[in-house]
Amino acid sequence: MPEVVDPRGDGTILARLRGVEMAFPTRGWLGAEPPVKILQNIDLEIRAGESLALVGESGGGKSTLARLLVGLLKATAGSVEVMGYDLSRLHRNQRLPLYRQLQMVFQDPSGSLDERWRGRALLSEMRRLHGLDAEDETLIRLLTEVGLSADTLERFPHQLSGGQRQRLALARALAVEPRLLIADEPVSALDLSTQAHILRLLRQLQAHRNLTLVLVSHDLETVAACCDRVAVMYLGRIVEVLPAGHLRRARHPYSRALLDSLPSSRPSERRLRQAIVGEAPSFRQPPPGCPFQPRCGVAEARCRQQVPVLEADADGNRLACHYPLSS
Amino acid sequence: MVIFILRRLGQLLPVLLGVVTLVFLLLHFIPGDPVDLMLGEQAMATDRQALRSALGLDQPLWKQYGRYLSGLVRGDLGLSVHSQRSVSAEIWSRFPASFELMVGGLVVALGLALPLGTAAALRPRSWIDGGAMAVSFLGVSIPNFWLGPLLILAFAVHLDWLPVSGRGTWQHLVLPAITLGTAMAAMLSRLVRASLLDALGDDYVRTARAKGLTASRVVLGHALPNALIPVVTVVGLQIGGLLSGAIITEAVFAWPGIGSLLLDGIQSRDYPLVQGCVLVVALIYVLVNLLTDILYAWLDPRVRLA
Amino acid sequence: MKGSAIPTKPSPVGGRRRWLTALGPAARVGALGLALFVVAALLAPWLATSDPLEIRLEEQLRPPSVDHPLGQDGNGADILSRLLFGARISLSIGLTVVLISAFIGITVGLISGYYGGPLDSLLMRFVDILLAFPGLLLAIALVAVLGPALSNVVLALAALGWVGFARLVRGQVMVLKERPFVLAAQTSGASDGRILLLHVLPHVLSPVLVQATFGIAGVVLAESSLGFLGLGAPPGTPSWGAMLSEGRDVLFIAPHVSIFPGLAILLLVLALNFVGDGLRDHLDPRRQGLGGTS
Ligand SMILES: Nc1ncnc2c1ncn2[C@@H]1O[C@H](COP(=O)(O)OP(=O)(O)OP(=O)(O)O)[C@@H](O)[C@H]1O
Ligand SMILES: [Mg+2]
Repeated sequence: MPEVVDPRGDGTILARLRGVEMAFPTRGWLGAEPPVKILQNIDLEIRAGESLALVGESGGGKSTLARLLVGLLKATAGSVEVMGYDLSRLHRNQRLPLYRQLQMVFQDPSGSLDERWRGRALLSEMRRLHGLDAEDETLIRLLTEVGLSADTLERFPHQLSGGQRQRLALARALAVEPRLLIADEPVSALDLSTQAHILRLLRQLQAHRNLTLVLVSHDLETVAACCDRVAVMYLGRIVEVLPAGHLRRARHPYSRALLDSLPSSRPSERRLRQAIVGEAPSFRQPPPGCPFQPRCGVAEARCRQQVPVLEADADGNRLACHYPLSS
Repeated sequence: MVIFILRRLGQLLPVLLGVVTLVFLLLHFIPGDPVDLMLGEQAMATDRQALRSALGLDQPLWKQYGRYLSGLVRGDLGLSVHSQRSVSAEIWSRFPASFELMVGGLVVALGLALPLGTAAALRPRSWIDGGAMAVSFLGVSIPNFWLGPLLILAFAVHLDWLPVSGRGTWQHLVLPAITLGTAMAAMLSRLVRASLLDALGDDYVRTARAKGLTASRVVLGHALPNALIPVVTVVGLQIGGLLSGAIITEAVFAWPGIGSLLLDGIQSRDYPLVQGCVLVVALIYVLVNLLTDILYAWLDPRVRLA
Repeated sequence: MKGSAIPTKPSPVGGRRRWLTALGPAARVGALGLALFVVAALLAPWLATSDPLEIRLEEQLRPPSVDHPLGQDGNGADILSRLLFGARISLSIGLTVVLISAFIGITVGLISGYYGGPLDSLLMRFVDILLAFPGLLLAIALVAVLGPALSNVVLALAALGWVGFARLVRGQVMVLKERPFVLAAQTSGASDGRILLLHVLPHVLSPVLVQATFGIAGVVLAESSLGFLGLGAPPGTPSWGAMLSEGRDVLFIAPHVSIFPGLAILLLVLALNFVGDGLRDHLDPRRQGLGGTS
């Protein structure tokens, strides 16, 4: 299988995004209007074995990025290489081998399972498509792995609880034994204790299966608990990338604001929003200069004129800020 | 609003061109030689040739098409094979009759649907409601070509109150208008009922009620105007049904409108006439739909932005 | 088609047996009536008391009698027997046209809705053009140029009928293709054909079924309308439309010749509309009102 090898030699790179831009066409009064750029200048690498978190406010473009990573959307500029395949010109014949290695879990557990299919059909379809055996024994092993009982095979999705559905969706994604799993807010639709269970499960699976995980989340506690690296997104750009353990020492004012908004108990998205002053600017009329500048406490004149670039520092962390905070 | 109208007109152009093209091609869907069909097998060769060149059939297709289009722009729909009169003049002479029938049908439809639907909505689930809805179900399913003859038998033959067929006095219009309007009345009464029930649940109606206005005041003054907005669109959409129904109705009552002209044309294989009638009726339909859209957008500003 | 008719409640597979009773009383009456018509059509050769094509000129236009409960037509043939055989023609034309239309419409709708883009625009422009003609008008025009024959009636009605299905399916697919379970099917590596057939199509079948029911009613009406105008089956055929057309000439001397075929059409259309309405309310309780069968 084709594979991208990291030139610096510190581990295999499973996915590499370069200068990715995603623009959606819009319709206005007079028909077509200029497209809105939802993602801009995204550079990102995903290393084998790691778990990378994508965090940011709602509407920041996280799901869009996740969809680009699995080829559900095609980037309007830049390149998206995953598992050595160029997703912008993925041939029909390459779909099976790609999705053998790459899978996705969606945010809404009830919507991502076809309500007319039983557990058995949902799982065996995946395995058969990829030429794997679909014996009950194998399927039950899969179910056990995600903490479901064997009778789930006979169940329709609507006969399962939200948590069980998400586990089934997970089992479906894992059925082909992928190397890279993209999980778009896999727990945000679930209640708190179920969230904890699923996250623990993800963590275990990652360790046992040597799975590479990209976890989309707006919950920094989740991220800190189960990821190695964090990429912070703001208004369609990556503004900071750092190890999850160093989150407290983040240097971008936006990352810091996200952290400060964490109350001592459980965070909720609403509180998170309040902590950052003002409304997020719109994609249609992005502010001049740094996208965070209108809401930033330390912005200076330069921030309004020049867009800061994402640059790597000595530790390999990356930051896009003219006046970073001290660690 | 102006922008909205311009945009709608812009969308309309390709549709109009398509309609014209389809009608033009109609003549070429005829299996065999249209000239043979029109003149019969035993016609003289010279006559045939004359008709062929009059229709432009001896020219390549794209030239015929160009000729057809340039004729249309000048309002020229060609000559009727039988009467040798211009097709547009023939159609124009039938226009008043068709218009009269359509207006009659529409008056019957609205005149039945508004009271019936309102009465049903005021007392939902009562016997009035049930009866009104049963009547409307029947009305939707009753074919024009059956209702017409029944009405003739009852009111023209047995009771002898109204004329059997033809056009002239207002009495001539009564039965055709009822025949034409019934199906639409049935459909509209259900719609009036549903959209009135919707409106009655809205906040402003409740407020009006709370202010102590009587039920009928509330309905007539507040709920009905709002409930009528969707009715406008559906009336527009159903004009197509009305136009189709008019063809049948004209046939039943020997009503001298465009529908009868079309059927005469078909009967005598006067294809230029058939094409002209089909085109004109389709254009009327497109125009009415455009007007409905504009009216709807004017009544409900949300649509303009969609 | 405003709002999607995709059932939001979980699919009641266990409840499929209660399906008929779950329909309202009107729909049950409709289903019963429809069943009667179907049985009559199937058993026509055994139920008919005489040959529908029989010619007995000495008994022409006789009113209803004990031997001929619905009377005799211009050829002296038994109207009841002709109606029974006519049910075959009407139902099979209705079914054929709707099957062809649904097949074309579903295919176009799936492709148009799923892929979008220029192909979709092109197909939808074409649909707009066909919809710019009031329904029956284009059918009349087509049969007029193709020549009066039942096969041409089927052709003309199917050439127009698919449009409704295509629009319906396209609208549903555009909503469905954004739903996570379809996205999940895409990231399973399945081919587009498989996704469309196995994951998308089953979810549009319910509204298609409703539309098909109204569609049959519409075709029955259209076929008899064409027949009434002399544009359907050739004279003599025991088709309801042709019978009406014959009855038209003798309306004043023998009204029974056109009254009974008209009644049969009315009852069949009524039954189909009842069933369609009931199905719709059952499959999607949010929507109400009558579908277009003018
Ligand atoms: N298909 C699309 N067409 C147009 N705009 C889109 C499309 N998909 C997403 N967007 C826009 O892109 C922006 C980012 O959406 P996205 O779903 O990626 O955000 P997110 O970070 O995942 O937010 P959330 O936390 O709420 O899930 C939103 O403003 C959304 O309206
Ligand atoms: Mg999201």
